[in-house]
Amino acid sequence: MELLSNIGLGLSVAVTPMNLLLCLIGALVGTLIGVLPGIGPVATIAMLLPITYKLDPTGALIMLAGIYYGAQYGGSTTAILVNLPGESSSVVTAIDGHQMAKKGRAGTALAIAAIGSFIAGTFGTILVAALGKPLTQVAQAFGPADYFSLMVLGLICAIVLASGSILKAIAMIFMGLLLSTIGTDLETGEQRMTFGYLPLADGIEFVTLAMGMFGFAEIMRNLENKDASRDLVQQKVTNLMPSKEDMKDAAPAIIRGTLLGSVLGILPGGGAVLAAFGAYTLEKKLSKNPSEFGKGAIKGVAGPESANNAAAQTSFIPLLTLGIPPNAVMAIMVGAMTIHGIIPGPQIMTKQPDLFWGLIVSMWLGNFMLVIINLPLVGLWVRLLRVPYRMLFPAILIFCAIGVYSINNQPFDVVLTAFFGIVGYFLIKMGFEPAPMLVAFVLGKIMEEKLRQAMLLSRGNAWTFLDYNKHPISTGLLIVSAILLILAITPALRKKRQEVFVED
Amino acid sequence: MQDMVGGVFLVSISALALYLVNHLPAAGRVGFASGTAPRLFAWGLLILGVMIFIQGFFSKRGEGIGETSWRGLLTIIGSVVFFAFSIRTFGLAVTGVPMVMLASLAAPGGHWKENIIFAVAMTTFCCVLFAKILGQPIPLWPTF
Repeated sequence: MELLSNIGLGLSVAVTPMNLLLCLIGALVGTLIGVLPGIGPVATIAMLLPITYKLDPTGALIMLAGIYYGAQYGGSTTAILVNLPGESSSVVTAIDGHQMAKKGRAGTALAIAAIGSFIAGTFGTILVAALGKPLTQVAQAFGPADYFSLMVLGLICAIVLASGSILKAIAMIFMGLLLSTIGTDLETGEQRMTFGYLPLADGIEFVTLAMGMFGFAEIMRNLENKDASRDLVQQKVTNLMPSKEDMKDAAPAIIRGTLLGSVLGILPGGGAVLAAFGAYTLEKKLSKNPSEFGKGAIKGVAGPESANNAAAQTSFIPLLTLGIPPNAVMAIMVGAMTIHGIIPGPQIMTKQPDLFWGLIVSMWLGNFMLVIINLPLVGLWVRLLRVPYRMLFPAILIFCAIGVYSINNQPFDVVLTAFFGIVGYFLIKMGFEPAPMLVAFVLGKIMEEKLRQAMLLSRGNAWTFLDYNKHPISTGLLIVSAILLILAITPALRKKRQEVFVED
Repeated sequence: MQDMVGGVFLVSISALALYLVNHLPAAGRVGFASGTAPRLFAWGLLILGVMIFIQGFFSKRGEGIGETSWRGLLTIIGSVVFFAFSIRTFGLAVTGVPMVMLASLAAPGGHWKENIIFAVAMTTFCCVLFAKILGQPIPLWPTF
């Protein structure tokens, strides 16, 4: 019953005309930007961050959540209509979704994606609300050593779930950690790797790193494939209501996708992507005629779409209860929250319950609004997809530049973003994935702090993390991490892992 | 090839980091000092870089790096850096137009007239949206 009263509190926060409007605007502009090919949720949030600066923290967070879901939906729309997934988690949607669209069933595919996402989003939100309290209590029992080990586990998960080479993923983690140590030392105030340059004393602004690696680098990559023909579905999108048969066909896939996605979303390290791939593989395995997959199977749209949206929702759980961002999107949410003076973690729920529950209720409202606005507006999104890329990217660039500049009114941040753009471009070209680095960068600062606190408490004894009598949680987490890492480099599992990610 | 270049890149970054933290204490009285964590991470990156290099050296079907589009790289980075250096002095209204036009050059095929119109329209839109509607403290006009 406490849950109900909490949700009541959330409703009273979220259902004010102002906050409803913010949620709606967030969902709308999020979709608007997310629909653009090649722009995923991370870049969308980074780009739209400046429009929230003037808002109060609660309003800003509600809007950001709206932007996030909007970007997610927008990505699926693009995947279905143009076969150009904006983010890795809608790669799978493109496989069967675009085939459906080619057969003139674009409306059905879009509607099933929207309905599946809404059901998954609702379930995910309930899960966040239900698990919020108990997990927060668990978090309060955590000491510095336990926190450190938990973050180690998180980074190991990011390595295991990264889609490319394991060695390269580990390298990216270390790179992120190294970048996070730039700036003034927390304890001694010494300058670390700042070249004596004042603007670097506060460390690297997270948004510059994210925008450079995900925004600029991605634009340069896109400009490379000159022959990237946009396979836009030309005929008018009609018949938005799926038939009874379609619904019957898709329903079990939606349920399975939702459950799978909810579990995988909590895991650190690209849960939404793995959820989508996993759901697709699962549907294909369970199907009576697997041969229809890849040729426009409705289950191949319903399953992954539900899974990635459920995961998108539940990935808020580690962020809100433990203060640990499980993936790159949540990492940028931390950046956004910090700008508004909110420190993610267990204290949010106890000290700012209105913010916590308001956010949760508006998560659901955002999902609901998207179903309502997205389907009728399909025509608009289609028209947007016809805008040539040569006009899109300069617009994206100036938005990004203004956004980065306005964080601190600091031109240096803009130069730094350009620098990370170059680095990111070459890293991607050399086969490195930027996502694990981003997560490591965000975790790096907290990790070093907790590590040093724990070492101080143990008087410099590094074995304290494995001291079962003193820190049973830490010991357990490290053992799990070690097992995961060993499993990840075992040849048998490595092969399996590749199979999951190569499914087209 | 891809991995060899990548490995060298990582090694040089960690070497730079190690050089930069050289003056910081490596260890304090109770384990950690300001220089400990950066050193730890840099050494880790260095070792991984070497491993990736070796892996690239011995792998038979190494992937190439592919062509680099210098045109895109230079115009995109150039336009952003131009923005950074110009915004404080010339303001958004003046900076925006050449920035968008420079960025547009990244795409092949000259659409000169279209680019100019687009740059002016985009700049006007940004000025109205960010400075007027959202009230960002971004300089609009030149200040000398």
